[in-house]
Amino acid sequence: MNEPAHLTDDVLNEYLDEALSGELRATADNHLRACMTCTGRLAKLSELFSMLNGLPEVPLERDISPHVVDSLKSRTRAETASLSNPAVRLGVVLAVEVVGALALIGLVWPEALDWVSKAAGANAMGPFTALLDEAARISYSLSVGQPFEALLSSLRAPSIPWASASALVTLLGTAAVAWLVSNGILLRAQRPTSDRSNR
Amino acid sequence: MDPPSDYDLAVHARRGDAEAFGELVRRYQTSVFNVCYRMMGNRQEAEDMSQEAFIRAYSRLATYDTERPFGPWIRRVAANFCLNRLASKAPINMPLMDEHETVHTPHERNLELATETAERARAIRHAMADLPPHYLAVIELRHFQELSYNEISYTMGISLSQVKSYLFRARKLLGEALKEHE
Ligand SMILES: [Zn+2]
Repeated sequence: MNEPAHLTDDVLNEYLDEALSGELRATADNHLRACMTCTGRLAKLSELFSMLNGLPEVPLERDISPHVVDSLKSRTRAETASLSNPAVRLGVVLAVEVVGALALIGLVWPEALDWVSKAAGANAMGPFTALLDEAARISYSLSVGQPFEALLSSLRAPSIPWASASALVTLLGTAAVAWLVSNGILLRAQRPTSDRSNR
Repeated sequence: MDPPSDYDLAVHARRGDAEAFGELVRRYQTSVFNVCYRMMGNRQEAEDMSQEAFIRAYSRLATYDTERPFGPWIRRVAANFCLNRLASKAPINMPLMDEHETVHTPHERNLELATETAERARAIRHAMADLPPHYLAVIELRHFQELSYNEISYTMGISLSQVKSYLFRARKLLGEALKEHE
């Protein structure tokens, strides 16, 4: 009859870790009953297990919780005012977008800039009065019997020279890209940072 | 009034209540400190690492399943944290700075036994300190946190066969080191 091979180190380890399936465990048990060598090896490994499991816990000599709480609180305070706070970041991105939009409008439509500067200046009613003036002029023209076609052609529409019309397309394209990028940043910021080391 | 449960404290901490988290720290600091002590090998470093592990855990509370016990989770976080620190260090071993084991058997009759126990504990800690970081981590998770192979694989982000080979080789090294010590 052939002497069965000794149990491998892996099997002995898994035996003690109770990681062997029922069938493999039964096979190992059978072998251990008949083999002093493997029984001795198992006993040696088992001794290491009990040494490790018997390692005493040591007391912690001071309470670390106040330190932890303090640093959590100061960290929260710092984050409230920093760019890592999503609310602050959202505000900054929106502000940049608004300023950018105003700058674009100003570039392609200088009259709008005049309106804004008038609105911000002493005559806050500037744009409104300009509209009223225009309305008054139209009603006067109508009342004096000017032909309607002449009136239409005299309407003062914001002038966009052809040179700036192509600039307008470029700028709108740039603005669209900037908008997408900044929203991408915001979305990324909302996703919790994942770390493989602690799943 | 009953003291708040771990569950309640964790839920509050998640909403940003640092004081609630502080209470969890008080409850688990000793076991977390022991994880760090076994892995770092000296008390001062273990204390620092415990604090940092808790601070890190706070920012990861979103990944903690409040339906599960807090203790095992925070101990796993601490073990991983120590592993990362050890693995990022140069492969020289930190010296064991404090060698004394505190043994709580003040009775005279137990003194001899206590000395023997302390001696043995010192030998085990020495042997553990000489292990490569990943070997040490699987020993910590298997023997002290009693995780299964699958749980270790999941916690450390390594394969099942890596878990087994690290664990078995670590035990071999420990066995040899302790035999030398005898
Ligand atoms: Zn055998």
